[in-house]
Amino acid sequence: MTNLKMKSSRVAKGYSQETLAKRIGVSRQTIILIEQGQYNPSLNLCLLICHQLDKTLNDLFWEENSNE
Amino acid sequence: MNDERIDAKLSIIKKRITILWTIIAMLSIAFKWLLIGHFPNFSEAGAEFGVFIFSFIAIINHLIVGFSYETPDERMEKSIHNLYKSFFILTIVIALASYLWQIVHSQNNLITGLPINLYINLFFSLTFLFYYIYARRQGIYFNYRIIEKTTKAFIKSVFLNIISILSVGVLSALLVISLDALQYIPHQEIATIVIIFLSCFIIVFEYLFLSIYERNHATEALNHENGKTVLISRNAFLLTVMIGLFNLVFTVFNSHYYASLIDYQDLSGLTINVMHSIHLLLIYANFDFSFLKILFIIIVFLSLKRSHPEDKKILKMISFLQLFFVFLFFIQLFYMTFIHPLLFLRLSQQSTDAIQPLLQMVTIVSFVIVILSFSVPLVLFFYFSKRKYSFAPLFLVQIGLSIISIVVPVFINRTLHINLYMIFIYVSSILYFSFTIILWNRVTKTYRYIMNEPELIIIK
Repeated sequence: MTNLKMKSSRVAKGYSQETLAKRIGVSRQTIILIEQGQYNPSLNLCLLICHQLDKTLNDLFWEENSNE
Repeated sequence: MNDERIDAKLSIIKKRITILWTIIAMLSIAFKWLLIGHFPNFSEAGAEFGVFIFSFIAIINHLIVGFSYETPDERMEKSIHNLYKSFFILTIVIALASYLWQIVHSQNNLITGLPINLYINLFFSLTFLFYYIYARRQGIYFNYRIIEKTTKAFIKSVFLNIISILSVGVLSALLVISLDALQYIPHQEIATIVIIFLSCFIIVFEYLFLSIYERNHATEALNHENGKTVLISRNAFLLTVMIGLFNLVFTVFNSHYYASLIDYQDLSGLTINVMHSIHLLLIYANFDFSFLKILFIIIVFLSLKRSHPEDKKILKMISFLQLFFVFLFFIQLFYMTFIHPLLFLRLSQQSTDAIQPLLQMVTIVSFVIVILSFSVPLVLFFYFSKRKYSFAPLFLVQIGLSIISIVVPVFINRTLHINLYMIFIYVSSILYFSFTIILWNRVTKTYRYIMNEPELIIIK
């Protein structure tokens, strides 16, 4: 599932995928895949992304369960 | 860069390649065993033994690491990654070292009729090919460390890597010269050095091709995400240059070859033999280039599907027509190379009537090929002109050049005016090649602007 929360936070912060990738120290493709929901990042990488975008884990990666 | 995703994917790729190495080394040893008649020794299959032993150890180590953890976790993945990281480089070094040992100790550059460098070339070619295929499947590039650098930095890094590969070749050659000077090895210095450099150049060519291909792919993917989609990938242009250059060499050499058959009395037997060998080599290379043509068609189809997603059905039909053309060309080439000479050999035993239907069939196929060679650019002309691309009329010029190159030779009597015929072949081939380059350069530099950003949710 596409991670639109992360994408919109990145755009709101004024970062391109390339800039965010460089700041975290990963490849641009990894950022694309996370945003497209095709890669599940480790907790460590999630925290790095959150720090760069000034968001919490809940803001970017928590998904409400529709069954609850 | 310390990308956890790339590290995890690299472990998977290296594991698969290690398994592939083990299988190929085993097959090569078994093949040599069959050919030689005894189990090959180190000077006959040194590189295979080196690769087999180290790949096998890596796989066993992987199993041991896997069993030492009760439940798979990130620590286990890290251990496996480190294991393959070391063994991958080690196996390549061992393969090169044992190959070098093999060639400096071998009395002969042929092992039961097979070139001594056959295995090492196969080893590197298959490693390149499968590394690339597995990497693309896992969503990473072969040059993942340098692919995101600026163009200038990327070119610099690629050339540094090429220099490193060539340095290995130069060092190996120097070692051979030194050993030869010390009378340590049988005297076959030149042949050994030629073998080393041939292997090096094949690897460098493959690496250069992959690097340009990947860079184009990465740049176009980035542009596409920013809404600027290239009409047809620049890789189509790369393949056009390669195929066009080959066609140019093939046509010009063939005209010389047929001229030599006419004037065979003026040439020595050796010259005729050399020309005949080159002619055969070029025909075999033509089979390889048929696969490049298929790759070209696939790239054109995928690019147009991305830039014009609404035309999927028409694009499938155009690609099918192109593939049919390549297929018929392949069949005709196969017939002319293998079947036709066999039929002529048997003509003395059988009546010519028996092969009449086959000859008629070949004539029909040749006509269809000529018609398709005009139809494919014509279809592309209609497709692009309907979408108002300024380069569309250039496809008509291409058809015009094809007609001239087919019709004019009919009016030139090759036997009487061989010089005029040769001049025509040179001019028309160079003109056609240059024009094709200009055409595809323009096509692959045309962009379409598509905004493909999904609706964004703004988080406060």
